[in-house]
Amino acid sequence: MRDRLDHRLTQRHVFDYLDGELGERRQRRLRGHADLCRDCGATLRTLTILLWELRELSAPEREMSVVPGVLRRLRQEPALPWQLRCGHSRP
Amino acid sequence: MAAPLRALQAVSEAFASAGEGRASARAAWQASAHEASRHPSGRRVVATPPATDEQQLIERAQAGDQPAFEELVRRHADRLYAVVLRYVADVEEAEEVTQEAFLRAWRAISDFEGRSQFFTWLYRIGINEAKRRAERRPAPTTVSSLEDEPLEDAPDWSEAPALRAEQGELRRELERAVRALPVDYRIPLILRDIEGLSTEEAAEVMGLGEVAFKSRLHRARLAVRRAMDEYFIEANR
Repeated sequence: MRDRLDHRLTQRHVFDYLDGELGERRQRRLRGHADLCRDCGATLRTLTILLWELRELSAPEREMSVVPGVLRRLRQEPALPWQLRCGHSRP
Repeated sequence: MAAPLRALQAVSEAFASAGEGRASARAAWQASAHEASRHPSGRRVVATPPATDEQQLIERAQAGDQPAFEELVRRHADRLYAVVLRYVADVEEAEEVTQEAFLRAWRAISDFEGRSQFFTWLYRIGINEAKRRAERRPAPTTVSSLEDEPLEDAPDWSEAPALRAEQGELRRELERAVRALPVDYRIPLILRDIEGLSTEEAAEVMGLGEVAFKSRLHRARLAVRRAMDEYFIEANR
């Protein structure tokens, strides 16, 4: 009975566990179950790798920064009335 | 290096070393899980500038100080661009959207009330701008359905040879799988898993409650997993 409950817990909350959003007690139950259950162990390993690989995608895909282009557009923008009222000079 | 990253690197290294087999992968995964449990956020550390410093820049920008706003541009433009690039068709459009988002943010900076972090406010402007443009284009034909049921013969990735052999190709396949997600599912995955925002921050950018956000995120992850499972099965034939 406990095994079935832990199996369901693992299937339902595996992402909460991987996101660090599961309480300590449930984490322990999930870890314990994944150690014993072949399917849940494989799922947990696979999803751990998936999330790790997704994080690796965040490496920049472009060597040039977009900052100069944004600053150029910004400096072409006419000052808005509230900005003129504040009296700051433009760069 | 942040602890969760270190732990995940251990997983990768274990999977990358051929012949070490399941035992080392299992040990690495367990190390990863324990690290994750010690760090409740479990997230990549995002290089967010000190809040007080950023707060001063925002206040100065709100008072019409353009150089202060330009400093905010320097801090956030490339990150916003990276998010937008995964949403729109190409690099030129991504750059245009990024520029337009900052112009809109500058025009509206006096309305920013500081109830959210500046970059979540900015991401929201950027994503809304990208959506506006996407609506003008015909729907892409390459969008995958949200198949999130695992395949019957889904491989255990810790034992997938293709993962060890071809990191570059794997990355391209993963990019393709992410890009093929329907947009409403792709953005949660980009914000949470690729950009490393917390669930709360990413849900706020999307204008969704956390439950609705997580539902989309989990379906997106499972759909990507399924697409990659198919890739691994094909690669092993």
